[in-house]
Amino acid sequence: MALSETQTIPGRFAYADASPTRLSLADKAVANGIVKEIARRRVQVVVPLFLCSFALYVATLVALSYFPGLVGYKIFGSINLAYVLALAQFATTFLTAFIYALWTRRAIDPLVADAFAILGRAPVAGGVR
Amino acid sequence: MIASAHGHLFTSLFFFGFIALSLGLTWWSMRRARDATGFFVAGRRLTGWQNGLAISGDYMSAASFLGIAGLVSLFGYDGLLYSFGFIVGWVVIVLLVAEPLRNSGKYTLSDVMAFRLRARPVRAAAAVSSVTIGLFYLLAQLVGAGAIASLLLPIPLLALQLGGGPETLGGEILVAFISAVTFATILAVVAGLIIAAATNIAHDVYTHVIKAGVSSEKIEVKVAKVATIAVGVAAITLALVTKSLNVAFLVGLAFAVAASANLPVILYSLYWKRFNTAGAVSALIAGVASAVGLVLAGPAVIGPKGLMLTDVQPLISLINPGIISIPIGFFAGWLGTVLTARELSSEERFITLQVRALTGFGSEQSAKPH
Repeated sequence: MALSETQTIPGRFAYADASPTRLSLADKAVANGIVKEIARRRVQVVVPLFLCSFALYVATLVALSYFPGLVGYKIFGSINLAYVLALAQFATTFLTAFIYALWTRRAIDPLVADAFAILGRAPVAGGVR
Repeated sequence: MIASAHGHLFTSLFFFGFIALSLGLTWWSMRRARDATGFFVAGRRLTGWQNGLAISGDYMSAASFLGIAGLVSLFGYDGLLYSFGFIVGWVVIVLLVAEPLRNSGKYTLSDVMAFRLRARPVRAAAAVSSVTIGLFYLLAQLVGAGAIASLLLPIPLLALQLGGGPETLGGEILVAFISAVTFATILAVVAGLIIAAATNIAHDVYTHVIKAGVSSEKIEVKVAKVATIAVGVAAITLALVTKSLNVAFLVGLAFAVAASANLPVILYSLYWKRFNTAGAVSALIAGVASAVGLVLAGPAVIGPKGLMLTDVQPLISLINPGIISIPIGFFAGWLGTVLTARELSSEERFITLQVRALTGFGSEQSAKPH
């Protein structure tokens, strides 16, 4: 009996497996699906966001190191490209955090609430060792 | 003469005002925080905004607040480049680490590692690296603070001119204000670092390594209090001994150790199922050893501009070892894992960890909803 409760569903992610021990198999399957969906959505959004901001950072460093003529190009008055790139670094970090916060609120928090509703039907196992 | 006397009066007033305010706040929060949660994580009562402000305060250290300003004034735009790294680091933190880490941990980074790995070796190794980071950074801050204090006594001219010239009241007030703000930022950083190091010593080394997890929260807080004093005294003593030396490289070293040892283990723990205890210990040891070793062999320690052996050429030309030691840390973590047997308990617990990291289910609850 105890074995069947901790068994994983063949071919599926076994996410919710080890958390609540007294969860029905049907509940477990739903919880697994939700956690898997959260992981999938995070990869879809977090990875591109990270790559974009990191690419801008690396591109800025490369431009400043190897293309001094280009970054010295004056866009408006005495404001040159290097100045804009510097501001863009700071703006990007704030923008990334802002997008992430908005996105988690819309796309992740409802799923988390669903997961809590199901996982909450059983007492919590585990904790910090 | 009269203006200067006024200046000293204002500076002293602001200074003692700030010290009184800080001590008052400390006393007030001490009364609110009697148990371990209260001592280590402010009773989990901080809202997102409050915590954000505290983290910002931790970042506005002598290194960034004055170091970046100094770099820009010396090197212009090239100096500004240095600050890009700090701000880009936040992207990694907010996207990959912050939320899963908050959901998975209790007090320290090692909680997340120990959640799925064998607790004692991992906590011991992680504590060595974290306390190393804390001590290096503390030392740099304290030496920096000493330098600032000695600069503040002869009144900084820029602030005087901005405020309207040395003979005016506005100039004096601005100087007093700037010195008080500088003092407050350093106070925040030093307090944050000492708390972090003391938590590592009490929670990881004492409770989980020495006592193998069998201890009470009351004793843990007691140990943390003793550790707070010990770390503070050690850092101040070291700072007094090294105050005449140029220890600015310690800031870079602290960051390099963190990125080479702690970062790989945190990322692997959160995202790599196969990761095991041997991999974690390898990454921590290799990260600390390579970062510290490369600095010892580099121009900050050896050579004409270094601390010793000034007639010898440094073995490597890098002041900051990060570009070599960070890949070494990640590689060691990977190699240590794949060379050793699979750790089934770690892979099973990884699944629980993911549920917890992604949903927050089973994690430490905040006292205040936000």
